[in-house]
Amino acid sequence: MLSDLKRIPTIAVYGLTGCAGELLVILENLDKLLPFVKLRSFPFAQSHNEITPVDIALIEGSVSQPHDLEKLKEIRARSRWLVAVGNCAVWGCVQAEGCKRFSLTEMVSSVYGNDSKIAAMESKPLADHVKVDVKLSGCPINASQFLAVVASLLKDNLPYITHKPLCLECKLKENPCVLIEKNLPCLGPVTAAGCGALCPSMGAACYGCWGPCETPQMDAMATVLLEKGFQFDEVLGRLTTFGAPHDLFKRMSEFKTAEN
Amino acid sequence: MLKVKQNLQSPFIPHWAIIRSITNLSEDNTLFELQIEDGDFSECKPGQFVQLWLPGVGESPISVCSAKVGETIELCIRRVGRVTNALFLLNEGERVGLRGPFGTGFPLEKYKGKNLCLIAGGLGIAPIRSLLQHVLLNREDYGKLILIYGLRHSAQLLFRHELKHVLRRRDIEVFISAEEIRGPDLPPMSMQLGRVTDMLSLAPVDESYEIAICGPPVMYKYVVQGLKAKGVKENSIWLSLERHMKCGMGKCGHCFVGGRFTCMQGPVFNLTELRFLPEAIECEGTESC
Amino acid sequence: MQHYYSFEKSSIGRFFDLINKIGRVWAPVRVSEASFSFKPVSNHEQVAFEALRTILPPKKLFFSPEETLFRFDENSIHEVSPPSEREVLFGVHPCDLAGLNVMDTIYSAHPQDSHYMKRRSKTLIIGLSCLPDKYCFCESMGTDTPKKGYDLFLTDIGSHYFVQAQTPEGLELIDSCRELFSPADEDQRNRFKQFWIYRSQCFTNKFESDNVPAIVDMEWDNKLWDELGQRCLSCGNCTPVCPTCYCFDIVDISSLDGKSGERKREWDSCQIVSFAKVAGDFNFRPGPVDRLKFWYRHKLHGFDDPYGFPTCVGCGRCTVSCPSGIDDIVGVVLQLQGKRMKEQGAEATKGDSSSC
Ligand SMILES: Cc1cc2nc3c(=O)[nH]c(=O)nc-3n(C[C@H](O)[C@H](O)[C@H](O)COP(=O)(O)OP(=O)(O)OC[C@H]3O[C@@H](n4cnc5c(N)ncnc54)[C@H](O)[C@@H]3O)c2cc1C
Ligand code: SF4
Ligand code: SF4
Ligand code: SF4
Ligand code: SF4
Ligand code: FES
Repeated sequence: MLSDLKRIPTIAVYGLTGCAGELLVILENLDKLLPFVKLRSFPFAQSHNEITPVDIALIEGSVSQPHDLEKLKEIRARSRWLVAVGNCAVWGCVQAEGCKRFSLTEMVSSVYGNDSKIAAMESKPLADHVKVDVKLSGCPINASQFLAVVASLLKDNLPYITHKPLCLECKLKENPCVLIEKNLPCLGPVTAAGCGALCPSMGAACYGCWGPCETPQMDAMATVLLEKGFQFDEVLGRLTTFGAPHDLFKRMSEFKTAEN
Repeated sequence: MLKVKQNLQSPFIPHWAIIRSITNLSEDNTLFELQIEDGDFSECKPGQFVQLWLPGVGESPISVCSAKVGETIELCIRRVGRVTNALFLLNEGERVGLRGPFGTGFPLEKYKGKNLCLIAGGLGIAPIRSLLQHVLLNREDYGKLILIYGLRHSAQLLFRHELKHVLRRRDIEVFISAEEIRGPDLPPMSMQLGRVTDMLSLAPVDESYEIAICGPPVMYKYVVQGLKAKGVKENSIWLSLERHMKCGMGKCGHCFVGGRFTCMQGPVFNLTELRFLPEAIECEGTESC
Repeated sequence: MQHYYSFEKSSIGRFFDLINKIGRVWAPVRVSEASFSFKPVSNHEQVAFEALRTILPPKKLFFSPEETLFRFDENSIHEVSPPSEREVLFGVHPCDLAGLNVMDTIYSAHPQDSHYMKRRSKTLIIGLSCLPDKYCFCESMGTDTPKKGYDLFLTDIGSHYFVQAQTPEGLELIDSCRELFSPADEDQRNRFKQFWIYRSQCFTNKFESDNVPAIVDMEWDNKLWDELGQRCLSCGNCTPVCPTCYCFDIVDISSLDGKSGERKREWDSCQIVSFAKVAGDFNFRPGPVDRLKFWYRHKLHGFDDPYGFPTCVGCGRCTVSCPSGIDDIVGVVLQLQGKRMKEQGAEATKGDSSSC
């Protein structure tokens, strides 16, 4: 147990392929953590970094290049708790979905030119490659959830992260429902809560950036959106943008056939 | 305006208790003896439960595991998730919180003077142990006594030393079974290969018996079928149900079974009541028994 | 016995001055084209008197969507008590009063919930009459007249508000400004009676309430549930908006030093998959059909014991808040009764509030 050892727990923060959004959130909250942890490594924020065993490794981004994978495996081997932070690390985000929609070689050549040396691989979340102890989604992550996760891990306890749908959070804030009142294609019913219902609170539709809630009812969501007059391809496109696993949509292809 | 009692205390505030001893029972099951620091738990009855609180982690409903609760209380706990894992990291002398006792417990008054058959599956032995202790302490109040205890693996046997003593008694018949018996450390007692339901068919249970059952949800349907086949009356069958519990006092709604609060009107129900509650003993789950 | 007074509608400003002196006043306020919300107001001009249903029901004042139950450190526990300043809740319609009565039953049952009770007992409740729109069906649930749970109830009788005072606190308010209120005269009492007769004729959304609890059980295997369940998003919108849903979750929040923290509760919903899961991942209501049916049963049948009454009060909030259009309670009852054959659900999700 960490506290038994009477030493200060160590953490390290890394980014793979992502937008550094989570790294920024972590950086902003670092002053709250530093009284309780020793920061061993945070290449995004400091130049002197150590490659040593750590208690908690926080990793942002998806695995999209062979060197991401090497780095991930290396970090896993020396971390007690490996935490995937942010949608990219937890679900794979837009890059994982892109790899499902388009051919990888065509994407690389159209972006970097035909004879690019970029080594890209199919983009995937961390858990597809290594054991992940805690998954904290977000885009970017919610700071208080993040601090709660670290607080639990510092005591060697698994954190309590719920995956209730965003609608519940939205209703608790008493927002007028944009799906009902404005006919916007809000994905709140199938998206995990945690952001504080940011988009609906501003009158905009949730586009699902936190990834799916627990057991999302994708078929029912599609039915509702189709009835509102959205096209099948648009609905499927929206639902899958942020890397939700495709087996959640198996039955939806039947809708397409029914539509034709 | 609604009237409120002066100095109304919040029922959510736990009482402190200190871990006095930790006894490992099997790989993931441990008996915790807690010294109660404040609050009175002496009213705890077999079949009731307490809410065990680990500050900063959360609460879990845990059955009262011994017949008598005084300055200390015994809880037999399996490590399955967040709260229970955190508990297994604690040492003797550390503090936890307790609320309760909650629920109705086994109908001790109705059992008086009757033949009794206690059926436990897996961790269901925890509440059954408190009932067994109670009956053995007041042996003359009850008729014939049968204990059926079923396990998945022989290695999961709990309370083996206590059971050894029980096996030596002449006033109780004991049937213990496991679906898999293996390992170098064979259990030091007569354990048979099979399921709870197999033991039930061997046991001399008949319509004169009152029954107490506790085990994993999937077990109930088959055990009830077995009991009925032996002529046991529905109103003699008492089952302890496990539901998700948060508050323990009929407020949070998590423990609903059909139309009842398991935490208040249960967790022990008579089968005749359960027939009126949809979803009471049917469920979707992964384990067999 | 109740006491009856009246005051001129044009004096509503003075009425608000009066209740503002008691404490913070909560009243329905318009928050979007179709929605209202109970919010603190400082004068009557902010109040949406036309509001029928707010997004969240008035339970939110007493049973907070999110609240800290207690804080702790290594050796001690400190209960966090709700603030004790008095408040006034204005504009509660009969359905919502009935809803509060259900909440009172649950939270005042032993052991009393101190947070709810403290908030409830410091709040003066002023009811307000209304005319139903096409989603209201309190008449079918028998909750269409104010029975209890209010201090004052105002009925709009044209030029005046007719005031029923039911508690000492309500009477105290009236006594504090005798120039504003006058005892209700015979004409006003007649207009009061006529209003409620007229109102009961305004309901278009209704069913025969005989045997509804029995029919829900009888039709437990009706295929209607599967049809509705297939459309259910398990989004949980239907329960926070319901004036009688009282379920909550409790969580611990630990501080970084690991020595202190707090225990909080927040509203939960039985429509969410993890609600009933127990160890071993057994789930007693694994699919949306199971959960939706359970919700309908709680609302229309009520629990068997100890609170064996239907908990729906006919406010229509779930109907207008369900993105999938499957919380058309009246439609469902009519179908279960065999009076309406085809699902007409999805059409019922626009929140317009045309009254009769
Ligand atoms: C009346 C009753 C008596 C019980 N007696 C005992 C006992 O004597 N010994 C024992 O080891 N276990 C007992 N349990 C089971 C025990 O409560 C759960 O195993 C424990 O709550 C899991 O908590 P966790 O945080 O470790 O697991 P989590 O990580 O929270 O989850 C693990 C699993 O437990 C379920 N679970 C979580 N919280 C609860 C809860 N509050 N109520 C029920 N299930 C929950 C989850 O849905 C999940 O499937 C009893 C349960 C009930 C209802
Ligand atoms: S606005 Fe979106 S998130 Fe909010 S309740 Fe409506 S569908 Fe759910
Ligand atoms: S079930 Fe629907 S109509 Fe009935 S009280 Fe609840 S929200 Fe209102
Ligand atoms: S309908 Fe569901 S959320 Fe509402 S009170 Fe009943 S069990 Fe709780
Ligand atoms: S009934 Fe409607 S509001 Fe309720 S969970 Fe299902 S889709 Fe959501
Ligand atoms: S555990 Fe909260 S109502 Fe039973």
